[in-house]
Amino acid sequence: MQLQELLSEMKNRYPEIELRIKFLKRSIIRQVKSILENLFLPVNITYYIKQTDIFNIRVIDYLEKHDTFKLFETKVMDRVVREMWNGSIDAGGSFFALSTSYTIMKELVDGSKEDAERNHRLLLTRDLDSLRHHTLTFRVYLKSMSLRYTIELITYSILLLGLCFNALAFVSSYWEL
Amino acid sequence: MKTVLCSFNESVMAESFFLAINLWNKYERYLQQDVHKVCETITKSLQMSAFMLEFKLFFLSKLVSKITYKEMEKILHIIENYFFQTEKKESLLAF
Repeated sequence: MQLQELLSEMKNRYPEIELRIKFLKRSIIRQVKSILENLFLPVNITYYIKQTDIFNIRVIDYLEKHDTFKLFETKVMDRVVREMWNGSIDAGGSFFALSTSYTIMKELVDGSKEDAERNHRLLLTRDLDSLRHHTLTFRVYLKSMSLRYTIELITYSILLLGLCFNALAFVSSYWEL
Repeated sequence: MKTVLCSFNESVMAESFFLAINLWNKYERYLQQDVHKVCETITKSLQMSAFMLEFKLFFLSKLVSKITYKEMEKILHIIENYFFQTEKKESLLAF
């Protein structure tokens, strides 16, 4: 795994050797797999696989990190994984309990869980008298776009009228001369 | 600094890696300054044998961010030799 880590770091440093590293990694995995398959006493290997390092990371996690799933196809690894899968804790429940939607439906039918939507919000009739305007409604109105457009329209129309008036005054003064 | 480098190199070449790791822990900053010499020593020792390979790989993983392309080629070549030569397949168990 240390070698795999080193190779990954090398690949990160010089990305142009990616293919070479890939080929090397594949051959390493193939050879380690052949070694694991031909082991006579695989007790040590099972011991090593269950170990954790100083950072509290398991060997299985490293295998997953470096994408070495081919190693899991050997008998030794299969035995270890099956052992881990069985575990020491009994899990109760049925097969359907794995489904979230089934669990929600079952709880609703049983009446063991309160339906919040039905009892509190959407399906209840609303009392309009109890509704009051928001305290910041005036502020919202001030910042509304329609008011801005109205103010802009008034300002521009005043400017336009002023310009027209100036132009008329200029023309009339010219004709007088 | 020279003394540290010399003693580290000698300990690596003599394959007394516990001494080497102690030196590394204490003087990593100085050893990192002379990356190429350290790398050369570790490459040589890697070429000699796969004994205590985890230490060699540890040192290399520490240096890999500073080594040149040529040095890395050499290391890769050695690793490839380990894996593709049929005579050395026994040393694979060390990996």
